[in-house]
Amino acid sequence: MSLSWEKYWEIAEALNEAHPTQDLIHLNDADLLKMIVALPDFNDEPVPPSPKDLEAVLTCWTELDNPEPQEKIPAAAM
Amino acid sequence: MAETKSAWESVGGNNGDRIGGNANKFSYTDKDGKTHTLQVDCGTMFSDKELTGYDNFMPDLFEADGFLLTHCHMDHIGGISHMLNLRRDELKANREAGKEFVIHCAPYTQKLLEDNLALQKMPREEWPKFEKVEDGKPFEVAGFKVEPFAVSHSAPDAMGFVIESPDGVRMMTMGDFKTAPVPLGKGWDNKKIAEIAKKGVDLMFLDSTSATQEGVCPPEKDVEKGIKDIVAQSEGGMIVSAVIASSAHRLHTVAMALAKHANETGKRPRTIILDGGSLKRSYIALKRCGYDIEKQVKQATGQDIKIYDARAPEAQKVPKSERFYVCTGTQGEELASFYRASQGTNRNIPMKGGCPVFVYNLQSCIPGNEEQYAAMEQGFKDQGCTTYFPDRYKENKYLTHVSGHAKAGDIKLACDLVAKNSPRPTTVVPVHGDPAQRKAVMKIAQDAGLKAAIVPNFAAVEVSKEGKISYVQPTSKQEVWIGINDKNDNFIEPDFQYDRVTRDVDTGRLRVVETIPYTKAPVEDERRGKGKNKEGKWNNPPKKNKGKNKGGRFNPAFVKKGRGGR
Repeated sequence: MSLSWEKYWEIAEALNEAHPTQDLIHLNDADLLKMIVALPDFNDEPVPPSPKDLEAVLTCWTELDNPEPQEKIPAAAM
Repeated sequence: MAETKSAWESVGGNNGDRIGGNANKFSYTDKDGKTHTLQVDCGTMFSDKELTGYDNFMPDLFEADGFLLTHCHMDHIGGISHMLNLRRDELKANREAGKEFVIHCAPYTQKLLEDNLALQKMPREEWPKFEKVEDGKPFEVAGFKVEPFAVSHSAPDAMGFVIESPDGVRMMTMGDFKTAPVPLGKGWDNKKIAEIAKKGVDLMFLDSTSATQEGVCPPEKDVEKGIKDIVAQSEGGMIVSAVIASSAHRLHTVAMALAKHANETGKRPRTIILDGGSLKRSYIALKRCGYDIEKQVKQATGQDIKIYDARAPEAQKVPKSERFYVCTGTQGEELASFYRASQGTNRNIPMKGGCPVFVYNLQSCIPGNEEQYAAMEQGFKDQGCTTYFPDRYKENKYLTHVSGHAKAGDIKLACDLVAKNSPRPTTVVPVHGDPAQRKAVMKIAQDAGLKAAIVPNFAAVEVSKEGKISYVQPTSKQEVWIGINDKNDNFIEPDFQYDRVTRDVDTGRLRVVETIPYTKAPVEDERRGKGKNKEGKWNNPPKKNKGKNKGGRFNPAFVKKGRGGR
């Protein structure tokens, strides 16, 4: 499947497969961008329309590593 | 020519029985009879799906010319993604006409909301635009002057607002707050609240959640000692702990405790290893918003505390006896990091290998979760771990959690500051609490010399130009909510159904009024290479997993219980 910026979830899936042990919490935007552009199926401009596109990829990547349901913590405990 | 008026209405949050689904409508009706509306917060309220058929409830939709958020917790922002779903066509038309949907909030709140939208796979072009809100920097929206001020809460960047209508009526909402200092960002400031009050406050809305508890809510710093004691008790062993991911200050507290313990003992500090998506996102959001925990701790203590992602090779290189795992899943949520560790199935946390393992749940059991909470502790015990799971109803050995909500002492302080400084009479409206909690706030306010009123959902408080206050009672005992049902019960690929329901205030009984039609994300199938082609055949049919979890990775087909709110 051809990957373009709007497919941020699919980009995250491809990254997760390509870099299964990547430290996600210290990954900076420049390195993330390099990884995305290097994906074999990536077929879009080398610069995202907005920095938020990169952030969306990283957000989804953190979820793909170990998906979990949302915490159901009542307001009183927070 | 009509008489102008300013008004407030709770369209969710002042519920009879439980807290959640917070949404406040501030409005101003001008001399031509036109009403300008500002919405503050749009949260979700958890629901027991087996009882109600819904994963969550959210406030009903209403027209708003401006939108503010107080902080990032789901009971304040969880409804926004659903609102965007339900208004997809209208917002698209607005965008095409050059009118963006704009939300005013602080950076950390924005980041957590954006994470929520990304996890729901909302097309990027449908994300709202954001305007940054900063403590002490007023702005105008929808004809209102808004004066934001920082408050302390368990999430960073929590804000209160003074919302001033064109008539000069000033309505002050504290959001969720306490008065003790917080480690990250700005927090409650008596001087600032007094200064704001000096300009006059007509209505003040106060968080009632912990109002029935005596004293003042302790500062986050008090947890440091508990964590230090835990570390001292776990000498030579690996520590595995769990926290509430949305209480992001706690990460700073853990880091400070490790650094101080190292300073006091002369030993090398432990390394923090994060496991669990929501916790990692909290940490990433903190960094993006300029909260650098490692740097702050270094400046405060001189210690280099490392924080690693559990999946990274660097984490595995740390000697086990120097690891301090911080996981998601305090309540035994089946797929969360902590639960999987308790079953020995978390590949990021090696439970075997000759090193003693000390397990600390930093959060007590929330009523309703007793079974899975106990099962999780037993799972760790079965693996030979030493466990500490605090008891909600007893005094515990270690203080590992403090709330973010004002107790009676905090509320008294807020009332005193306003009573002393506001040049005009102030009426307190308790919010975010059950009836007993709201009554407790009313009494505190009255004792401070302020007026106070209990105002249920869908009742309005109106303030005339001259400051005269009147109440409009709800016309019906049927509250209106939107029930959110993930038909898939699969938080990876949710399929939402939205019903407008009424809820009888006295009996709690629900009645479906209508299923709200909405256009699903238009590019969803195209984006994922799914959907049908012109011949009606499926493009790129989904792979069959044959009951196996491919490559040890998560298989969404196994998800039985969804999170709904995502």
